Order: sequence, then C-alpha cells, then structure tokens
Amino acid sequence: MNRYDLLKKGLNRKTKIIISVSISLFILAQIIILILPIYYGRILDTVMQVKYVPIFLFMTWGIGKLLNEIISQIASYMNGNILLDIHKNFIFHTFEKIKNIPMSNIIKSDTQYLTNLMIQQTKSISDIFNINYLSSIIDAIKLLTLTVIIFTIDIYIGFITTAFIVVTYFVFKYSNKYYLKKNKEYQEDTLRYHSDLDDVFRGRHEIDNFNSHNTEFRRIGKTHERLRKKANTYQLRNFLHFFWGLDYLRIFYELTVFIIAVYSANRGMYSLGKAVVLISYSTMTTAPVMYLNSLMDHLRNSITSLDIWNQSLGKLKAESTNGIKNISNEIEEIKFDDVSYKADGVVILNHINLTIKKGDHIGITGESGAGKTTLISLMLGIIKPDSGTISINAKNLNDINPKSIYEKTNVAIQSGKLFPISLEENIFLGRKTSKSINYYLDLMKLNEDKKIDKTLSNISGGEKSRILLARALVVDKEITVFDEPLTGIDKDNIEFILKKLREHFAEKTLIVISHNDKLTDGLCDRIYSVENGTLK
Amino acid sequence: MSKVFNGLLFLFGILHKKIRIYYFSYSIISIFHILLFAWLPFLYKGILDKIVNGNAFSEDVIFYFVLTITAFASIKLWSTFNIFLKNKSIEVISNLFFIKILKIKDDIFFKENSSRWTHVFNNDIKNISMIFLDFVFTIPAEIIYAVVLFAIVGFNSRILLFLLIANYIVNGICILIRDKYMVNKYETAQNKYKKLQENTNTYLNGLQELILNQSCDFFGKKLDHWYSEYIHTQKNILKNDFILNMLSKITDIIVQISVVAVCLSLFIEGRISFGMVVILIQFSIQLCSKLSEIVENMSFLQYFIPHLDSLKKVYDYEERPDSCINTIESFKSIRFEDVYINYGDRTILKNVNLSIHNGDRVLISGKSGIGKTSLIRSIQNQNLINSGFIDFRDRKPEIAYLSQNPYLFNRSIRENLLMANQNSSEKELNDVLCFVELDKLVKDASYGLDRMAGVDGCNLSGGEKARLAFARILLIDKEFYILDEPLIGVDHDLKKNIIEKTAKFFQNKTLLLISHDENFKETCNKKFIIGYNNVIVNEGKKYEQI
Repeated sequence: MNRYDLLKKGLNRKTKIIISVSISLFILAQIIILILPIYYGRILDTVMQVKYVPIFLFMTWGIGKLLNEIISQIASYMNGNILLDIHKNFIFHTFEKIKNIPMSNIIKSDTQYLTNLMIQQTKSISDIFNINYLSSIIDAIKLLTLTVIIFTIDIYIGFITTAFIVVTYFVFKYSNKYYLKKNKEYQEDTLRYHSDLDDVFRGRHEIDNFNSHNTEFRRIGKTHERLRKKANTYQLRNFLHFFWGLDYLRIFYELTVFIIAVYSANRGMYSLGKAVVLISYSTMTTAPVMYLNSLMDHLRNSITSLDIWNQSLGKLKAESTNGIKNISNEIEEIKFDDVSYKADGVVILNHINLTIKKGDHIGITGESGAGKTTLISLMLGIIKPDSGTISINAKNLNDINPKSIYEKTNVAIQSGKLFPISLEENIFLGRKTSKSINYYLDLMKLNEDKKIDKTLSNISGGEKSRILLARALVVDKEITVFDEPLTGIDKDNIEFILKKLREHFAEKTLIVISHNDKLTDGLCDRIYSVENGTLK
Repeated sequence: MSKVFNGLLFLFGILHKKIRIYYFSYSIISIFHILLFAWLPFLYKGILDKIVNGNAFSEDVIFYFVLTITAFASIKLWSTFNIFLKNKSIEVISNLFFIKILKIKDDIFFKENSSRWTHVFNNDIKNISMIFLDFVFTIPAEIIYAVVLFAIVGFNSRILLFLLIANYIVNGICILIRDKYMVNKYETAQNKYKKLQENTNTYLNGLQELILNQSCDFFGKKLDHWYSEYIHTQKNILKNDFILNMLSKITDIIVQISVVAVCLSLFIEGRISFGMVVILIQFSIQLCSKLSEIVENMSFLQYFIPHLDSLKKVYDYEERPDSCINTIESFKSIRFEDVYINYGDRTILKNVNLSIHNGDRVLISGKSGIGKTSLIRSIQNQNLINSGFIDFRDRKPEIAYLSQNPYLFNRSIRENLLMANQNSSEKELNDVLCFVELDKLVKDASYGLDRMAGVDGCNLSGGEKARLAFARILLIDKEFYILDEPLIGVDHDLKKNIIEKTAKFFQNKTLLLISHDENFKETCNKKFIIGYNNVIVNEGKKYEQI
C-alpha cells in the first residue's frame, strides 16, 4: 500500500477545500502580524513630526490587528471542526479495510490492537492537518520573513539577527540533548531510590526486629544525598545552558538591536518610528527560534502513525484474490478428503474423511479439545488443512471466496459475543427478517425472563447461549452449524428448545457440535465422534 | 486559599530555619527585582525623549545596558542558588518522612500495603518539589508589580485605567462562563470518546461473528452513531469556545488599539512625552495579561493541596513508643496467665498457662493454623489478648524474632546479613553461612557474598531464602530467640544437618521455637503441643491442661 493511500482516500473534496482554506487563513494571519509593526512605526513617526494622528494609517493598523485576531480564530475553529470530520473518514476507511481482513487473521489479531489502529492511530494521522502542529513550520517561515524584513530596514541588524538565529539554534540543540539525556538518567536513579524505599517498607518487620532503623536511615540518607548531588550538577548545567547562555544571548541581541537602532535614528539614518519597529521585531525573533528544534516533531509522530497503519493493515490483508470465485448454486455436498491438521506440531485431525450432503443432520461429539471446532474452522476456510482437500460442490475450498460460504452458512460459534445493545438488536444484528422479535423470544423461552434489561448486564450463561442460538436462526441459510449450543441451559428448557429446533431444521442441513450426547441424539441422524484425531 | 497557606506553613514548619530564611529573603529580593524592571522602561523613555529633542544620550544608553544586564544577572543568580536549596529542601523532607514512616505504629503501618508508603515519596513529595520553584516565591512580587504598573498608568491617564478594567471585566466573565458551563461539556465529550473506544473494542472483539452474520454494516451504523454523537458534542464545544475566545480576544485587541489612540492623543495634547507614549503602551499591554497570569499561578497552588494534606496526615500518625531497655538486669521469665485469643468469633487459643524461664528452650508444635503464630504474636503485641495476661516479671526481654515469612531485602547477601548485626566480621558471616550450609553456594557464585538477593529474595530458591533468613538470626546477640517455623521448604537431610549444627548455638540461650519438625527435639528441653480444642498441653500429659 502506498504511504499516502489513506490520506488520498480518507479526504473528500469538501474536507480538502476546508483544510486548505483554514491553513491559508492561518498563514495570512501570521503575515498580517509581521506587517503591522511597519504601520505602527509610521503612525509614531507622523504623530511625532506633525502632532496629528494619521486617521487612515491608524484605521488600517487597527483593522489589521483586529483582522489578524479574527482570521486566526476562524482558521482554528474551521480547522478543529474539519479535523473531526477527517478523523471520522479515516475511522471508516480503516473499518472498511478491517472488514475485509481474512478470518484467519482476525482470529489471530489482538482486538485492542485493531481498536488502536482504528481510532488512536487515525487520530494521530488526522493531526497532520492540525494548525497547532503545523505552527512550528509556520514559525520557521515567519522567522525567514522577519529576517528579510529586518535586512531591508537595517542591513547590520539583519546580519546580527541571522547570526543570532544560527547560534541560538545550535546552543538550544546541544542544551536540549544534554537535558534529555541527563534527565532520563536522573529519573532512572529516582526510580531506583523509590524501589529501594519500597523494599525497606516491605521488610519493616525485619528492621523492627533487628532494630536497624538508624542504619537504614543513614543508608537511605546517603542514597538521597548522591541523588541530590547528581540533580544539582545536571540541573545547574541545564540552568547555565538555558537561563544564562540562551537567555543572555537573547538579552544581548535585543540590547544590541536597541542600541544600533537608537543611534541610527539619532543620526537620522531612519526615523525613530522605524527604530521602534526594529526593536519590536527583535523581540519577535526570539520565541520561534526555540521551536525550530521541534519543527518536525509533531509531523514525525503523525507520519509514524501513518506507517504503522499501513504496515499493520498490509500485514493483515488477504493475499491475492485471483481465481477465487463465489459459490452461486446451492450447496449440495461438502467433502473432507483425507484431511489432516496440525497446530504447533501437535496433530489435531488425522486423515479425516467426511461427506455432508444437503439435508443431512450431522452430530459431532468428543472430548473438549479433541478437534471438533477445528473441523468447522476448516470447513469455513478460517484455517487451511496441512494435507488433504476440502471441497464444496466438488470445488476446492481454496478457490472459493470464504465470504460466499458465510453467506450460505449460519454459525453459532462457541465463543459468541453479546454486544452492549438491546436484546432485540443483539438477536437481529441489523439483519432483515419477516418474523417479529417475540417469535424468537418464544422459541428460546427468553420471554419469561422479564429481568433481562437493555444493557444485558445481568445475563446468565444459559440465557446467553439461547440468545446466540436465536441469532443463528434469524436468517434462513442453507447450512446451520451449532458449536456447543445450549451450554448452561437447564433441563426443562432443553427439551422444549430441542423440540422447536427439530421442527425448524426438519428440511435443512444441520451440523451440531457438542460433548453432550443428548443434544446430538435429539437433533441429528448421523453422529460421529472425534477421538485422537480420527472420526468414528 | 487559606488551605494552601496552611499547607505551606506546615511544609516550611518542618524545614530547617536556614531554608526558611532563604525563601523569605528570596521573596523580598524578588520585589526589588521586579521594581527594577518597572524602572528600566523609564530609562528607555529618557533615551527616546533625548533623541526626539536631539540631546546627547550615550551615557544613558550605557547605563541602561549595564543595568539591564545586572538586573537579569541578579535574578538568575538567585534562581541558580534556588536549584541547590530546592534539592536540599526535598532531601530534608524525604529523610524526615522516611524515618517517620519507619516509626509509625505497627497497627497503622501494617494495615497498608508497602506501596502506600512509597507513594508518599514517588507521588506526594515528587509533586511537592514544585513548590520550591521560583514562581511560588515571586507571586507577592508579581502582585506588587501589577499594582505599581496600575499606579503608573492610572497616574498618567484615568481613561487608560478604565479601559484596562473594562478588559478585565469582559475577560473575567468569559472565564466564569467557561468554568460554569464548559467544563462539564469537556468531560461529556471525553466520556463519549472513551465510550466510542470501548464500544469499538467490544464490537471488534466479536468481529468474527459480525462477519459470519454479514452484520458488519450494522456495526458501521452503530459506529457512525457514536462518532456523530461525539462530534456533535465536540463541535458544540468548539463553537462555544470560538465565541468566548472571539469575545475575549477582540476586547483585548480593541482595548490595545484604544490604549494606543489614548496615548497618542495625550502626546499631541502635550501632556506626555514621546518616550512616555511608548512605555505607557508597553505597560498597558503587559497589564492586559498580567492579572490572568497571577490568577493562574495562584490557582496552580491549589494543585498542591491534596499532596500537602497527604503529607500532613502521615506526619500526624502516631509513633510507636521507643522500647528503652535497661540492660543491667537480665530477664527472668515470661508467664502466660489464662490467656485467651480470639479472631472475630473464632477462638484461637484457650486458657493458656505457660511459663518460660531464662535458659528454657521451648518447642511448641501442632497442626498448621491451630494458633502457634498467634501465641508468639501475643508476646510482642499484647493487644491481641482477649482475656488473661502475660507477666514479664521485671521487664520484656530483648527479642530476636524469625517470622514465618522472613523478608530478604533487594541488596547483596552480605548487606542482608549485616542488617542483623552491623558489627559482624567477615569470619562471622562465613560461619553462619557454614551453619546453614550456604557457604558453598556463596563460594561458587561469581559474586560471592555480593550476590544480589532480589526483591523479597526472588533471586534465591525458597529453601535458600529460609536458610539465609535463619543464618541472619544467628548473627544477632539477644537474650530471647523466637523462631516461627524456621527452615520451611528445606529438604529433610539438609535440615537435619543444619539443626544439628545450630543446636550448639542455642545451648545457653532462651528459645521459643515453633515447628512440627521432630528434628528440633534435640535443640529444646521442653515441648508443648497445641492440641485439638485449642488447648495447649505438655507432651508428657497429652490432651491434659497445664
């Protein structure tokens, strides 16, 4: 996948326009800030010379100042709004991708990881367009423009400014590196000190026992003294770097500009107003220089997120889908031909042969962990057999789009999940059906349990498996697979539900997996049992 | 605010007098600093005025230059000193609380997990270290500075003063509105975002089912719903924020423009000089943000309240009484008199009558959970006894106690042993290790005695741990030894050897040993069994009360 795939696809025309407008507005506001002092200087000059406020100049300056504020506020408001929309687009774009991940990868991947990819990473990616994060780049542009303006007013101050920017940049870079390194060391030492304290408190009964409070106190006191001396050294040096070095650089720079400007004005090289402008420009230079070092930091984070997003989803994506077809006809026959499957070197299924024909009711029993569920996973194409072939309608499973199998198969999986929505929604899951919710509630005897509330928080295991069962009955599909249904359901209900299920599945293909013989006996015509990897 | 003040008083109350004097002088000095910085602009004004009038001004410039540099240097010098003082103050507080916590009464201390006590250091004290930052001590100076600026501005023009106050009122209203209506909304939006994440996680957890049931779009719709809800709240916040910001910023700008206009007109009227125009504008713009800065700094102090309270609570905990022992007379005997111990409704021990004289070596055995350890605990803490009493005759003996779960510190084996007795020589250490047959292990290991034991001895096996703890007890020289299930987890033969070797050590000592191990029989000269019915009996007369 291309690195910028998400950016291209996640942005639509509207968002693109609004983003560009908000960023341009923001830059415009920054330019206005730079130009304003020139007007201010001219106003001062005029007032001084003719003792009269130049209304036009003053209005321009005032409106400029207002406009700058209004524009930058609007820009950040627009930007904040559109970022939310962009984030939403990215979330849904990611969701589309996640939907198409093959089942085998879904089972393997950690949910928290997918959620992170879908929400947090996309948030970080959308921040590429965040004005606040772009401001360090804008600062750099601002600095450049400022230097140019200063050069046009006074060439000497221009050179001094350039020198100041370069020196400050490097001093800051060095100081910052030193601080980060030493601070990390100090934090680690502090951590060790705290774990030492914890150790002492954990063993206080021994200290009481040995009456060694004073020795402990001396020992901890010494540790802290070392810690303090270390802190003194690095904090002092850090202070020298930033508050003596860098700050005095700034003070000297500003004073130098002040002296040159004042003398030049006095000698009549330019007006006093211009001198005041230069002085205010000199104070504008100092702040952005400090940010130059973090110029790419935010963007770098966003781009890292973009890479993580691309790589993770690329890894989970299906391999080539060439030559894979849907099954369009009804499923007449599913055939396991000499199928074996190993997991972590352990043989789970060994040379299995099984044919399931349309209308069959097949039961599969066996101890837990014997490989019953593996059989279903193989049939659905979630995992691939190590040897042998599985075919549907005499077509190899590898050549069939698994989605078309899911469309024809109802599966109530053992590890079924309930979602934090109402009971009705949990059964229907948004699918269309002609029957009302009450039909399913009656069928599964869920109606009597009036206590089931909307949040499904107080649900029992039996109720849960009944809801999952009902979920599998909503859409009539050609094949239905029940993996350990009816666990935790009490005896009275089982009889009733079995009866209903028999009626419901009289004509259809049904595969039931259970370690409960009663269930398979009650529902199925043919019963196999999985033992030591073979089918009997 | 009074809470903050009380908290600060408490904190500085426990510091050295020198540190208190330093911080007091720092506050005073910072007022001079700030007044200097209020004066500097007037020099600047003088220079500008001289240019306008075409007078010579070189000396003024040099003076201004030198004074600025010196003023900054003075501020920085004090801040530099503060680094040392700050770290020293933290050290004083840390050490104070360390010894305090070690002395807290047992029932308070052991009720809590050790992390509760470490929390004092890695959370409370760590956060409180920020109190020693410069901004706290310069708050009074900042307030004075603001007042001085107000006075200067107000002296020159009442209109300027009015403009500034109007600005404060509008900004104040904006802040009030934000505090009252917006803060809840921020929380709501955050909660919705959190819910979005949680729900997404739940659904992705059931993704397999959603795909099998072709219900992905159903989830999509739900996701759309949640995100739209979040967006709705968030956009609402953005809108309100936008309006409030716009209001306060535009007022700010209009006030600034008006300030410039007023100052210029004052100049045209000839009431102030050009230099004054420049500095009045500068002062007014500074004042626009100064007040909110001060309020922000002061409200930041609120952040310390919970930490200060927490420290105060620890500081006020009752201390355990000092066990001052008169060592001239050796102890004579301990006598249990009709002692009953209950835990809740359950009777642990019933009617215990038992005497231990100086020189007795008593072995107490019985099934696990029958109350052996409770008997020992009652010697150390008589609050556990429900009825009856323990008679120590003249005084409580000095006890060396090996608990059932001895703790090994995350230090070297040597340091762990030395904890028991600081004055032990290298030979003594080797001897006791020899007793418990750990000498080989120590010799073979590349670090020898400097091998680290790990937190709670996690680098050692259970048996090694028990042996090391036993060895540690042998280093102590006390008059009364209580051993609770020593050498648990040590294999049988090894245990037998160790017991044989150490029997000699205890020969002339008073010993109370709890164990169900037969091997200890040789070490002791008296044996009791806690039988069923929770009654303690002498071995000779089984199930008979003594």
